[in-house]
Amino acid sequence: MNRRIGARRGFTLLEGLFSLFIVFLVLGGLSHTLSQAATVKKNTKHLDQATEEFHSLFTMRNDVMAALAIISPSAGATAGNLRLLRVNPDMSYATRTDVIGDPLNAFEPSEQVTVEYQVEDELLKRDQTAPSGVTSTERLIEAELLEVTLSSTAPSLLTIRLSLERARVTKQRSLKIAVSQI
Amino acid sequence: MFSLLNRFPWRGYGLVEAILASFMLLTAVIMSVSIFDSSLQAEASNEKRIMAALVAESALAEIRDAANNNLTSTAGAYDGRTWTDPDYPGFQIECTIQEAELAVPCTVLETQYDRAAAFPQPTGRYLTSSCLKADLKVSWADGRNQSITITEYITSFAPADDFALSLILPGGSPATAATLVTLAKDEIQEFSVIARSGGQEVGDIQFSWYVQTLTGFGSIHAVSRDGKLCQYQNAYRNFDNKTKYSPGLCFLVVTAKYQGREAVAQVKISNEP
Repeated sequence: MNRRIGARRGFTLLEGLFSLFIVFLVLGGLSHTLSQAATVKKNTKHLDQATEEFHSLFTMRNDVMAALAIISPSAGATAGNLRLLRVNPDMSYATRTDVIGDPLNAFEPSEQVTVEYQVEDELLKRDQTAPSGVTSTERLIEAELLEVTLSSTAPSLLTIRLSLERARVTKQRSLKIAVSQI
Repeated sequence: MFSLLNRFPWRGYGLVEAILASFMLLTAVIMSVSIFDSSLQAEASNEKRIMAALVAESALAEIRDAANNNLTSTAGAYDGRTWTDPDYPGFQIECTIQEAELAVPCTVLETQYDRAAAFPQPTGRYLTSSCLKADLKVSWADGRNQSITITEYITSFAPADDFALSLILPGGSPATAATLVTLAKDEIQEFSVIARSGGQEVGDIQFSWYVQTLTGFGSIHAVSRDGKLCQYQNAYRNFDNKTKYSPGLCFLVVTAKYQGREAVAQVKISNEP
């Protein structure tokens, strides 16, 4: 009698349960998707950090491989910085052998620079100092500590160790470099 | 009842329709999740791969350092070795080292020569004891086992401080400053050379021979492709390809470079008229 007078009716138990199932399914899928998106963001950040760490360590490696001399650390010692002497990477070979200075010497003191890596204000920095005293600083990566060890015998093994704080967790990254002569 | 349905033509979904719709919805959700999942796995794997490259580079640096200190003992120390870098505990390093033979200047050219040919016939030039082939595998567990493999030819770059040459006379004894070899007109003599460093004979070196005039001279008749053997003749040919003689004294000189050092050895020759 009531069903005829009022055209609307409520859900049956089966319909209600089924609707709830679909709603939970959609909400579950949505929350899972959102959590996955958060993980993607976190992973992308970690990947960026790993790329930066790799780049920083290999920038140091390139400088060591091109070094004419390693000033710090000394043989058999560990230091909080890496200091070396190398040919100015901003000068081409043609520039270094032109008529200015000695055209037969591509390694004149005026064509060399001192490169120093150190952690300052929780940043790993690369300082390049020309003989004129002009220094250019490059900020590489956030880091807590830099530790460089040079084994005592030559040919030698140089170990660079970086401590990095990532999401309140301290991580260690290291790279070894074979040095044929110091 | 029928009149009511006619008055309200819209109606709810049937159970089959609803199940079909939810099935399609579920499929779409599972597909999107699986895409996310594989992208997540790839990203996590990429980060590990970057770390694995650092581990491999450090391990190769250790092997290069060992080669710089003693190339011959490097293979014994690292071949078949498995170890872990304390700074990267999740990564396992496996190393295989083999002796490598390199053609100089290139395989395409050197393989054209008969390797069994005897001097003065030319033969291929190969470096047999100058480098090692290192295969380095860095593996880590990331859901399933993952790994990268790097192959590198390793040699010693350490400077040789005591590199020296010894010119060997036809009789097999080394030439000294007092040695004088006398050659009759047109006579040909065969000399050889040995290079030493660190108390060991050094192989794989390219030697260069020339004649330094004092009061006369002969000429280099033939040299093996690696320069280890040299035939000297008490005669020379002029631009008209005619045999000429210049009696008197001269030096037969041999030079070689090894790990940044150059060494010279010579013997005095008397060219008889």
